[in-house]
Amino acid sequence: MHELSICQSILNTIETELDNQGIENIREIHLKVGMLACIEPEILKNVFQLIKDDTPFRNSELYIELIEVSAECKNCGEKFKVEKYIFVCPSCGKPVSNVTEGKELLISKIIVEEPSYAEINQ
Amino acid sequence: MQKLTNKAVGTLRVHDVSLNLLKANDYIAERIREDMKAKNILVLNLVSSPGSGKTSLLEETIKRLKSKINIAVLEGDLETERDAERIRQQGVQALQIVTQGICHLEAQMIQQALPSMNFDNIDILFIENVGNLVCPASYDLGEDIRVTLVSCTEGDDKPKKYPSMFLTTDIMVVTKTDLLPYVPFSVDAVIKDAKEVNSKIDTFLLSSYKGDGMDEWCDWLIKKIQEKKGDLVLTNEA
Repeated sequence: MHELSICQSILNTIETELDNQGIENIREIHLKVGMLACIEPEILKNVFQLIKDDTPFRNSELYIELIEVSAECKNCGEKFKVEKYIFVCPSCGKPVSNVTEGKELLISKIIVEEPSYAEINQ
Repeated sequence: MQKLTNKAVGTLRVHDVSLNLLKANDYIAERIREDMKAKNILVLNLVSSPGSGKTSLLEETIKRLKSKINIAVLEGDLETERDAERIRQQGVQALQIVTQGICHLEAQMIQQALPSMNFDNIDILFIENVGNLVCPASYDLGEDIRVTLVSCTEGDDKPKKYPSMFLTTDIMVVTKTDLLPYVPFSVDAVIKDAKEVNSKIDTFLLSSYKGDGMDEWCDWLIKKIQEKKGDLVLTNEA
């Protein structure tokens, strides 16, 4: 339930990344959200819809890719999807602590529309 | 080029990036960790559901340890200063962070609160997080050790229901063990589930109310403070 904080962080992070240039021209913002990030994608999208109207982000849409939890066994090297949060290697049975995927909470792609020659020459 | 909206007439430029949305929090948390390391203060982040006994555990811990070490407490709650008042009644310094509806503490809140506290001769800082097993998991507060409480009245299914929290937890404390004879709570089951999520979790069993297990908990705290301080002696033994 901290989607609003995360949403604010999306806006701040992109403003910094793009140096506040052309925010109005952003069309798509793509996120990668791990299943362990404690974020509900639909709520995050709704929060984004609610707050973007009063910001330069009003022309952009949020796309969220959910990432399943994966781990790699340090003992035998097996890479596997973690089912039901059992962090035990299915191959050798040893407990596993290095989660390789599933903790992500990041912006992976920003798609910005650049004005056409037609527009510039108008 | 795909036409996205009526307005879209320009070319689209794709920025492939990898921008961590918790980067600002993690950066501040690291600064707090450095600051506390320079001051030789051990920092614990206490998390749990509401009503698991975080404040009661702190009260009882302070009663037993305040003659040996100097303790400071940061309290996080949505509203009221009640918890900080409870801690102050034990005669130690406590500051309340009122989040006004925010369901977790963030590193920035800690950073803002720290200058209002006096850390002269302090050995340990307890941060009592907002009662919530979900959101506080994502926010590093610059702590050395994350402690998650599970009271036996709330059930032994918590590690599997809130895996993110238990993945980031160092120590699990099962509280209210004096009630174990009256509730369907299996200590073995909770430890097994916690270990399946995070094999590195160590467990304490205690009752703040009756005192069972408090000696082991307090001895462990003293040991951790000594480890953090290295060769330095504890303040009140100097």
